[in-house]
Amino acid sequence: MQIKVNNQPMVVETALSLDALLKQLNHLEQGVALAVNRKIISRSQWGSYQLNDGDNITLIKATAGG
Amino acid sequence: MLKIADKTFSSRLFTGTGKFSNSQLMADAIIASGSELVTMALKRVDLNEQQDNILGPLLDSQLEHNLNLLPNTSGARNAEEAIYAAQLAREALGTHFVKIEIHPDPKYLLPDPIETLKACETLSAMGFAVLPYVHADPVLCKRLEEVGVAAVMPLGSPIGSNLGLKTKDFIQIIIEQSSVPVVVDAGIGSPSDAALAMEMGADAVLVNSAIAVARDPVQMAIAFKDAVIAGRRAFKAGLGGRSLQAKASSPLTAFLDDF
Repeated sequence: MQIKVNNQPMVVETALSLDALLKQLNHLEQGVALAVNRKIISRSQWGSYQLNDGDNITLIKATAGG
Repeated sequence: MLKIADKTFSSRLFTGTGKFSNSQLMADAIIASGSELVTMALKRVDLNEQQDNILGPLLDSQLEHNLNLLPNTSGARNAEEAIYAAQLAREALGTHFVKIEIHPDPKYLLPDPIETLKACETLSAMGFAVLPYVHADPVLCKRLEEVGVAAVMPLGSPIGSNLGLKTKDFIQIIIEQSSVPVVVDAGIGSPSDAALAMEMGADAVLVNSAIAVARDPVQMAIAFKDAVIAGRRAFKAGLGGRSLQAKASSPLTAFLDDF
């Protein structure tokens, strides 16, 4: 199935969990947060949350700023 | 001690993490400043880029130095985006503190008061400790207080300009009227600007660029720390009144009249 992560299209296996996606992307570190189709999913739900075809994932992290 | 929402701070100098030339220097300067509240921004993870870990050294020493995090919503152009950013920040950093920054215009980065008020009302109702970055507008600050913000952060001059307290007279009114802490944010360019804000009765100041872009950021951080302590002490000691005429500080007895 096809999803987008930060507007970048990618093809991933069906019924992938958020946890597994972030592991693939190497972004399971602390300090990141994400939303699927603009709905924020808390870290505790990443393991059980299954992605669907066409999902749009926003992945953010903290950076320097004033 | 300064109390904002449910946290108390022994330092009245808040700092930002932007513009430092490297992450270790940032951590060293912020720790030297004694600051206990540190701002940071959010960004989308760039999947094509190597992971940057600019906040790494600072976050590693977070517990040891009692550093609290204050994520900002910089990049948000309206209330809806700021509310979304605040919720992402809470997830990412595990804090309910948020600095609302909504500045649609990149030239002067002046905050949009209408969108800021809307965002603050919603986020305060959601249980966030909201610290809005605003123009030095006493009426707006009272309205923000009514919707439940934890503090107000009026600007001295545009972000990063180092122009000092161009809004001084209005900040004075805000301080006089406010029943939430007043944190002077933006434009503080030198330790004397920070001392002045504290002498006027500000509860704290937020300094980023002036420390980050100094030739020696660690020494400048210490200078700001000292200035904030001096300014606060002077405020509490009560400044003497001003007068256009001289008021003698030595006795004017005519002891030389014999000559």
